[in-house]
Amino acid sequence: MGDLDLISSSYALTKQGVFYVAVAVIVLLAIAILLSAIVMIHHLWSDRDRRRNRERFEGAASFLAPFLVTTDEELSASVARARAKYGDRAVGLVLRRARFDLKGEVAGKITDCLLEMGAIDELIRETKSRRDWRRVGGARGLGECGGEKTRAVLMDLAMNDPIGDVRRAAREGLLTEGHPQATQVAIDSFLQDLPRRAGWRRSFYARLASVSSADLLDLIRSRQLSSGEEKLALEALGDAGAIGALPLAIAATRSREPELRATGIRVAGKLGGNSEFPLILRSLEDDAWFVRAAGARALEWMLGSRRIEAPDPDVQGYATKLLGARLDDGSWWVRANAARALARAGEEGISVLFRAAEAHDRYARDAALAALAMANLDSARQMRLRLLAGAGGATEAAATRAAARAREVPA
Amino acid sequence: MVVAEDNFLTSHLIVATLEKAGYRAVAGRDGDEVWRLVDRHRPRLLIVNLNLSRPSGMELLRAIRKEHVKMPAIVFLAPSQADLKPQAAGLGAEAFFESPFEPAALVAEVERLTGE
Repeated sequence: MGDLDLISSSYALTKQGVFYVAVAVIVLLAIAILLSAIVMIHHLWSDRDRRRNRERFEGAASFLAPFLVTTDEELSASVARARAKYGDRAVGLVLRRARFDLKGEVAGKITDCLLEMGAIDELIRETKSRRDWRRVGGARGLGECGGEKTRAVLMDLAMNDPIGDVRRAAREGLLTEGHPQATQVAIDSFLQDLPRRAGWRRSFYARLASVSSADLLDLIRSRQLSSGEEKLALEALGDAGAIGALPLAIAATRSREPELRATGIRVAGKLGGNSEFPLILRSLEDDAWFVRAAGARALEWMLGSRRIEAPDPDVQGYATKLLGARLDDGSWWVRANAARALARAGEEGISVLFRAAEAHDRYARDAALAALAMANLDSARQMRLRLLAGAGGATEAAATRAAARAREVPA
Repeated sequence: MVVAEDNFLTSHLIVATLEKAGYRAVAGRDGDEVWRLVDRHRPRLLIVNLNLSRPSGMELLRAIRKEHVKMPAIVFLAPSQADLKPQAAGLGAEAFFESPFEPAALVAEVERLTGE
């Protein structure tokens, strides 16, 4: 009897255990279904919101665009109509983005509208928030708005906010207009906490060079920048076409530091005239491969988009000869850049490239084919190029790869 | 003319600038759409942003250059893309603009390139 009682009570316990487990599984499943439903509803809701916001933004942008690009029509009346139809948020965003895209008299008119509709006051309130991300958003928004009122707030944030991201957003905002005092504060703030990432520093120099190249030149001359920073700043001035940086670039080409020489050569190629040809030609024989690559790239710019010719036919002939010799350089970059420069060097350059494309030197052949593939050739020469590329089998693939690489990466 | 710009607002601002100046302009927001517009309208000028996606602005210039050799282009680019100018110039880019741009300057450049 005792055994039977034990068996029946353990059976009852097992049955009870199964019951509890089943209940637990059902409860967990119900919770999972409920959570999934909540997530799905939230997703659908936020997706609908996003879609509606995008539609409002696009509607306001289409409606306002014709009034934003001209000074001869009443923008504030159109903004009032757009606010009634698309809401303040969409219209404010369109005005801020347009203010960021446009400059000149129209930009000032957009700032006035932003002030009038209270969008600037709202962003100023955001910059006073205790939450860092809200202050970053406020500073970014104010940077798009322009105007005196925003400038005062941004100058304060750039120097005094405890968070680096806020200071950086404020600095970028200060550089949108090129106002002297705002630019100076942006520079002071930048020097106070030099950003870690080279991309951010490069971006700052590029902005500063495009709004006030004289201030960036003064900064280099003041010797407050390290050699590495000086290179970035000089490159930015070259990209911005700041001709005042040419003497600094020429001085850099005489540096004992090869990286600074390469920077000087690149900037001289972007800013220099035909009197800089001899300097750049000399760099093609430099000991450092990246200086030779920079020299070939500089010649490509000068002969290509800048359409600067050598001072006389002898120099032009010498340039073609030197570039031809660089087609069998030990460095891929030098070969590729020299080939592209030759593609810009007129008939003589194209002839050198075709000769190299038929040569036995595989490296010179690949560089020449890649450059010819991107050059403007007449139909007869295109046919000749196709035959040459097809003849080598593997060469065609190499030429295609080389062309793709040449498109992607500058020297 | 055809505007190749994938930013909704910027493309509307460029088209509005050109239309205010009396030009007819249409915008495409990716390479395929621009290609169709160029084929249909045979524009006298192309305005292209180098940051265009699918394909990139440079790829688009190259493809259009192969078919419409004489079509000039105005290129919009970021300040950090200045080193791409020679390559773009080789593909028909006649003028370059960086954001922010001045509408009057864009119209002046279009007038110069179209001779109107």
